[in-house]
Amino acid sequence: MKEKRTKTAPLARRDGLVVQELPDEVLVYDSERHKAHCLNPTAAFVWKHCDGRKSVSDIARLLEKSIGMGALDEDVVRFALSQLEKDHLLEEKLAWPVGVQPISRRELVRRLGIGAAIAIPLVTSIIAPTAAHAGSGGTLGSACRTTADCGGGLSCQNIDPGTGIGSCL
Amino acid sequence: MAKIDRLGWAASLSFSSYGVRVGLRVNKPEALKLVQEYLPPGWKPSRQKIVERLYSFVIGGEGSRPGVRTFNVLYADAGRIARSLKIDEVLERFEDDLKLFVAEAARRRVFVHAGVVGWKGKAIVIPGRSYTGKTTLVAELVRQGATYYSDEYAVLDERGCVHPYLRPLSIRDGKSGKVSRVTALSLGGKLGAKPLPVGMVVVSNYREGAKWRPRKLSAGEGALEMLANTVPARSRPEETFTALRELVPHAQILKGIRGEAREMVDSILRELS
Repeated sequence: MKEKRTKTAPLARRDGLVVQELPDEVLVYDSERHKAHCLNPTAAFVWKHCDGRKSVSDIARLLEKSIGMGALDEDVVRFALSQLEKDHLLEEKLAWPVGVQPISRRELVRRLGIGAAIAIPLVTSIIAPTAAHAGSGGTLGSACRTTADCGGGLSCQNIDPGTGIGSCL
Repeated sequence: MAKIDRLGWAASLSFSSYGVRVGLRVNKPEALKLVQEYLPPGWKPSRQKIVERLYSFVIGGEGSRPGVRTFNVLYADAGRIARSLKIDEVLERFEDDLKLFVAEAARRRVFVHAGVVGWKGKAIVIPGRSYTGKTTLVAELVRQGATYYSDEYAVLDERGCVHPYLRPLSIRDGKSGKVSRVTALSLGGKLGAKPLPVGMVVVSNYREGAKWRPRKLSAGEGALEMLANTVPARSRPEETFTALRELVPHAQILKGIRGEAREMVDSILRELS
């Protein structure tokens, strides 16, 4: 696919987020969806530069300078943006120019090569547990051996005769 | 609540644990001592009359007519949370509910569901939910000379240090699933006293015959593993992040499938030494 410059100027979402910077990564907690994300250095770099003014190509140029790898181009930034968008970390849905779509991770790895795979933007996410789910007390669907392991009026059912472990239902 | 208030209470106790004020009352004075055995580690009696949660125990037993037994009933505030003829079941429910309430509401502490031991001035934290083998690992580490800190919660402060949460280890029998309480001292271990910085986080699941070949996680990935087991993750994400920010950059974070605890423990202690 031929490279095309896009005028899109993505804007990072700030409302409803708790952001914590680590030495190389960024942690983001989405208070609306109760999801926590870890942005690797490339994804964090792209997200931090989504100020609503810089275009994809501007961010790509800054990224190249920052990481010092010539192979990085707009496709890397687009891939990062598609992940950030999917995780609701951008203000608006991105409008890609006609004929330009983010490429897949596999395609990106193939193009960058294994050596540069570390530069691939990555957003790892989990759903934050409720207090009860983070604790030992058996909540709906959690593992149990007897009903005493289950809380909230649940009982231990479907006990596997082999392992002796069932589910709080 | 007014209905419960009218039930007739013989004794009561107000206490605090990690800054959380809790009250309990019983209908038989002798039951107060029994209930106290189920309070969280480090609880202190308090004179506060206003509490954040009030437990009310109606102790049953022999009824007024021969051959009739009455239920033991437990209320947390206005809601009934346990009812059983077996007092042990009600007390266990009380313990579970109370420790979770304290873990979520604790001031300036972040409770992560994890086992913890100390080794050469650093803490080894093993986050995980029930049936992931935390206690087995903690027990084995203690047998190998590590200092016992907790088999239930890693109690983190804002500097990312772990405080002791000393209660007997709850060891499940592999076949019957029955839980027995074992003290760390009976395993030949020592009890932790001072808060420790975290040297290692071990994320593992047991699989029979598996060999421990962990991969190292980045600080951010490690923070997510810890957050997945953090009690106030939803209610206090800022405090959780603050504690994790201090903890993860200085700790080795290992993740993998493990086989028998003993084989893994040697490798962990060697790594941290």
